[in-house]
Amino acid sequence: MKEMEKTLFNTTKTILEGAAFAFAEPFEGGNEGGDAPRRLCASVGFEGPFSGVLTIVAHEELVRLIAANMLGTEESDPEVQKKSRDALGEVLNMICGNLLTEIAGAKPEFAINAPIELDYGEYQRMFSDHYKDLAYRTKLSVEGYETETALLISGG
Amino acid sequence: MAFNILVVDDSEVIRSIISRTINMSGVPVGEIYAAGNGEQALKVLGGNWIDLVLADINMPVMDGVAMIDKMHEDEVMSHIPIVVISTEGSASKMEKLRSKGMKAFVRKPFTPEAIRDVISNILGEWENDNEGNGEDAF
Repeated sequence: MKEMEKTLFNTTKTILEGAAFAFAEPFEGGNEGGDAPRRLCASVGFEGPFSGVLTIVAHEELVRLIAANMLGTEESDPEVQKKSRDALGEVLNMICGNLLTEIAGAKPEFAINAPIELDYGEYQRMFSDHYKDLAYRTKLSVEGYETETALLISGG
Repeated sequence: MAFNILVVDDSEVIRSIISRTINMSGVPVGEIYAAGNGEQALKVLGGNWIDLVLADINMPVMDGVAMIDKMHEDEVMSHIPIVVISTEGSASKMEKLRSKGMKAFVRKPFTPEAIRDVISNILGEWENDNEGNGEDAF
């Protein structure tokens, strides 16, 4: 695993465990991601000494679990369904803020945008459209669900 | 004395977590107000008595830095203690916010204990200060 991908993996793992009590380990293959329609994707852009986008893709059942854990309630709680996507965006936001500090240190200032939801097609297009940018990806098995975070660095 | 607290974050999940933590903190709480961005927060601040603001930085419409700037310019709002709860890690940005009234910073992800301790410390100091026992909390 390259150094940047290791940092991406470790930061994602730390945030998922610390914020959502969802335990992560390296993904070792299999078909745990589920069909594309059951995957939820989010992205967050940032600007600063370098700019880019961070994305996450996770199975919707995992996202529901994350939301339930963050809210301290059961997955069957209607609030969980309502706030699942918000929870995924917030987890991504936390990964982004902490990742930028890991990469660039505490001195530089970054502006981090609000997270946005993507459909899986948009997510895949993002990588083909930005093939010339630096891209790093890491796959994790989070509570048994395949999860991917990816960092695109586009300038700066 | 019960304190009114304003929670400013664009994430409903984070607002729920912080509100729940405040309710469990043991701090005497009157009302917990919520706002999804700085602009909404300023409206709440303009119409209600607020003792403490807990605010994120990165929010749409008006971010936390712009909100703190506006509060800093206002004679009444500039005295309200602000705790920033954010993923932001920039030391220089935090230093600027400190000069404009930020009393504490909690980095996301946070533990409920971290929020509870910060609230208790700030509101405890505020209470002592108003009883004439404080040093120079505000």
